[in-house]
Amino acid sequence: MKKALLYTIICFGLSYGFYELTIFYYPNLVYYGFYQKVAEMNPDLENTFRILTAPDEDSRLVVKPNPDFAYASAFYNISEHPIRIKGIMPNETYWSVALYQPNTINYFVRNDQEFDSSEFDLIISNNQNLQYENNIYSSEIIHSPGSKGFILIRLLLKERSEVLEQEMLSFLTSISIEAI
Amino acid sequence: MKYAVHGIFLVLLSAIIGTSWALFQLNNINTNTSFMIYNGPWRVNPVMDLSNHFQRALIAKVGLFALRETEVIYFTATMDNEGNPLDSEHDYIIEGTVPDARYWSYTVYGDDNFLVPNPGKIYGYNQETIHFTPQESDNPELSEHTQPIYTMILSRDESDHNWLPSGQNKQLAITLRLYNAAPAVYKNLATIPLPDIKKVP
Repeated sequence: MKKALLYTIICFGLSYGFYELTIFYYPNLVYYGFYQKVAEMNPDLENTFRILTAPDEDSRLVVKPNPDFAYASAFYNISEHPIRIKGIMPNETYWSVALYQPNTINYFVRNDQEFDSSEFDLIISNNQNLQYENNIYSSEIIHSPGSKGFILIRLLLKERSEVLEQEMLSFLTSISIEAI
Repeated sequence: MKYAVHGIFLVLLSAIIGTSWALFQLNNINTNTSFMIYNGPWRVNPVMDLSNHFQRALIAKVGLFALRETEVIYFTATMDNEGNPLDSEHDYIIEGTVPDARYWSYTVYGDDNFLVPNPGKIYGYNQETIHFTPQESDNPELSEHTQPIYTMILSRDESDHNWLPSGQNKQLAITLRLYNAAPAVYKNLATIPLPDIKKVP
């Protein structure tokens, strides 16, 4: 009887521990699942931008996609070098640059009205790359909490028209990423 | 040896129980919304408290790569005004006014959380694409200051008027996104005017 009670208490305690571990690492698993799906389609996965047209019913990479936006996205890896991302975006429409950790936390977001112009020029660095703190470039330095993460640039398409979409996509394809 | 076997069994059993319970909670969002604010049939997470592990897991599950609440407010409706789940078997009228935000949009999702397939590729409406209800008044001042209203029809059958295709789904979700909402919206999430969702008898 005593043994059964002891085992039950141990089981409850361990179960709670596993519950907390599952909840804590669930976002990392979701991110890893997404990473693997993208990797299957794109051999050059890291530090390379992919352009995504406005989602439709066949878009099944990410739940609840917003069909009003076109996207440029990239997994970044700055374990060896920081990276610099630059782009020229259209005026008079919403666009934003967002950065995510592998646990899916959105640690940085800035929209068009918060940039000084229609151009953005950012260096993503972690603290290990101290020499870049002096910033020989004109870029703004964004500190990444870790050496890996995800960049998502959103560009609003005010209506679904092929002409507008092509015009907007030309801005997204101009976005560059380079190791520095 | 016996105790080692018992130990392994206990750990495995605990792992199954703990993991299953966590996944059950994440899959049953309607029973785990103590941190949500409700406004009629709409609910919103007012602060994406990412130090709260459960919130972070939930956001990863239902809104991977969502933006912080300072940038976008996400209202979600999965029930009508009467508290009945939205489904494709019924038609709904959604009537509302213009939200106070830089940009806003409605999008419908099926029970798999993806866009509802339909030949017209209609997935939602935004401030540029929605058709407002004409409002006639003999008083020009009233016409000038009246908030524009719109009506959407969520239905399996095509409609001429702001039709939201519902497809073949047992549970639908409508997401209202407000980009760069006015400060008054953040202060009054529970009371700002949001659309009614009424089932058509």
